Amino acid sequence: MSRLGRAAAISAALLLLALLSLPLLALVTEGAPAILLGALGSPLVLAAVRVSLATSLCSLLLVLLLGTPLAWILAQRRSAALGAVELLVQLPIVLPPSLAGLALLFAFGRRGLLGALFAHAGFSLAFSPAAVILAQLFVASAFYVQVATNAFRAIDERLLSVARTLGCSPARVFFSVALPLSLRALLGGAALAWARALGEFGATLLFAGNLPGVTQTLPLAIYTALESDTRTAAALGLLLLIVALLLLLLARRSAAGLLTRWSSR
Amino acid sequence: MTGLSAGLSVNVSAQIGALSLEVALQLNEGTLVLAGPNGAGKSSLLALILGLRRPARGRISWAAQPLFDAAASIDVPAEARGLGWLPQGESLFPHLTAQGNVEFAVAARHPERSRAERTDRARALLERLGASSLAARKIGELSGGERQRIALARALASEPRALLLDEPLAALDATSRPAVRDFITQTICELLLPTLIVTHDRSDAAAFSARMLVLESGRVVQEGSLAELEAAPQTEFVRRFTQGT
Amino acid sequence: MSARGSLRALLVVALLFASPAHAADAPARDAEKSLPPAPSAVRGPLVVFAASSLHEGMTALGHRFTAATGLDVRFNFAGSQELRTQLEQGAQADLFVSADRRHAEALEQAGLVLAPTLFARNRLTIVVRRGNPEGVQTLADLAGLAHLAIGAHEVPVGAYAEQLLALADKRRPGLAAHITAKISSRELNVRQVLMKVALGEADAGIVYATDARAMATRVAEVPLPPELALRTDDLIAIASHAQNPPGASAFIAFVLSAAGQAELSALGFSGPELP
Repeated sequence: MSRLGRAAAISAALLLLALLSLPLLALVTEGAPAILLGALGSPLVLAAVRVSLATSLCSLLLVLLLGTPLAWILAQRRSAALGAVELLVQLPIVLPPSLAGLALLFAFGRRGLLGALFAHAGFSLAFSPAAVILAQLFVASAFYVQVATNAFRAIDERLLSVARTLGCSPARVFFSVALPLSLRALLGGAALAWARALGEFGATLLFAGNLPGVTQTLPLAIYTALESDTRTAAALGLLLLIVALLLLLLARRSAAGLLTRWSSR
Repeated sequence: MTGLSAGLSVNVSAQIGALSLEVALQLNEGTLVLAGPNGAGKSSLLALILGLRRPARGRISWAAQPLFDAAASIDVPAEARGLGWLPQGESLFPHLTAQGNVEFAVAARHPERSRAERTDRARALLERLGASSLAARKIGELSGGERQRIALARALASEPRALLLDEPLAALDATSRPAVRDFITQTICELLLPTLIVTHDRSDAAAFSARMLVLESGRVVQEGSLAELEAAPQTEFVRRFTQGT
Repeated sequence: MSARGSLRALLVVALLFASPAHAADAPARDAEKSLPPAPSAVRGPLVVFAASSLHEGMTALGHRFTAATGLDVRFNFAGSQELRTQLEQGAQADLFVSADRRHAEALEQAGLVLAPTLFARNRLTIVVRRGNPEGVQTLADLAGLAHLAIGAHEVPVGAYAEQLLALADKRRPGLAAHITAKISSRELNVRQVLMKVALGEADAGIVYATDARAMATRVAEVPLPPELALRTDDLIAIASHAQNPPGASAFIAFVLSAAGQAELSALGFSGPELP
């Protein structure tokens, strides 16, 4: 019976693995020849990679800087209002991305709720990389905030209290106890959020437009290429995967480094 | 309960869940044992004294210095009260080594000190408490008794003016218990630190203290030496506690 | 032909000659009297892959067709290129309706569709924000705006817009560069160009006349002079692997009929006979 159970578990796992890996494999076989033929050397592709990296890293930074305090507050206190806030943060995940783009336009577009205010202040988000970053922030922050809130909640309250009695200010408690204890989870959440930002397409297209070198990210370039040539699109997709893989590996390494530094302190 | 006495004066009331807590106590040199049934409010009282919870009314002071005064809107934050605490159960930082935990407290108290100074101070403290061999260990590798030693060393590293120990022996098995108990009594005696110890156990109470305070449903029901309590128990709990059942 | 295939063909022929019971139930309208013999009882829906720029027209034609024949029409709307990719990857359709001659001909060459037929034409036009707040009168005025949205080079409406700019540049050298400098976004289909203008995010865009008409309440049209208003071809073709060839033929016949053409012309299309 237990052997049967194990066989079932292994087959289930293999099935999911096959479902996930076959399309990726197909992308490699379709895209690799085009990469080898130098289809990616074009300035448009390089510009898309540059826009994607710059905007997604900016939005990641914003997610971390703004999302971490929010997660900390959500984790520390419980009230009906904060429960509502937590739900609100999750909502963008449910919105179809293009609808998210539309909502962003209604709020921050030139004719949007804040459009007149922005125009008065002399700046406009329309068709700018800032709009790309905002779109990514909108769709990606929930992934980080949720993981971070749960990670902070999982910390034993006593550790935080004891640190206070040892002489740590609340800020010091956060930086020298809460942060190192949840670092692994936070980096996991950051990786999720960053991956979502990097792959963002629908909201960006609607809210920020599609202009090579300015707002055209890799996913937009891929979609644009799909209109004429699936080979190039596949090659671009492969490039996106490679960039993502490299950055995730880098994040994992730096996380491991941070953790060992902390524990040897 | 005058603010002019030397040690810690507490006179607070607070509503904690369904429990209404109203306690006055004085902690001077020596040890005070706090006993009481589960849910009597012992740990909550400690949290009020430490500044981790806010009383509704009353006053907490160290000698002439108020730590909390509802009437005067004084509420010294936990990190500035100078009270050492051993919470019930696990409280060591799992991301640091044993020595790292002690250094943490030194750094928190003296942020201006260099890293070398902190290390020296932590090492000296561990040595004095006979725990040098544990310094490089990870927290997960320590036994229950060893953890309590490190936790006490860490509390002392923050140079507290009084110690509040919440059931420091509860998590230990019968074999390690006497050793840790001796270690704690010896350390406290040497340092002459005013210490409040919460315990469930008559033999621990006997070992730690000459003076006892019994808390039931948020109120002090009896105060005195263990012998006095034993001679004239005023509640069923006191009677059972002093008989060791 | 396989046994199953020949059985299906027999069935289709048999049903074609059976009495059109469903059609008789439908309220007869003048326009529908001119319909060709309807394969009313042919089973199974008609699957139509249609370009998104033809959304309104095709939906209206589909309703009329279903009312007349009782045959269910199911649409799959997407960009012509996406539809082409889907068909190339083996998607099952009865009809392909393209807003671009190139894609229809490419599929014909690949043997995936049969004899694309021109059934309507569209023309390029400028749309601006409702009320035309910047007072755009001519193509040259676009160079004075802040944000211009056009289609990407890879999609038909974008390719046409580039053709238009090249044409205008010949008459007035330098104009194309001035206008191109104001392009803020290259959208992936004509509806997105239109939406950017309708929402006021872009000041103007270059779209098809039918799209401008479809959103006439939210954008204003600035027509191009005839020599610049490029005409586009909309083609319809039966898929080689159609499940319902008689139904597909009937649909094409309906689109080319007087009733079908009237429907299209009401939406701003011009007929195939025009130059």
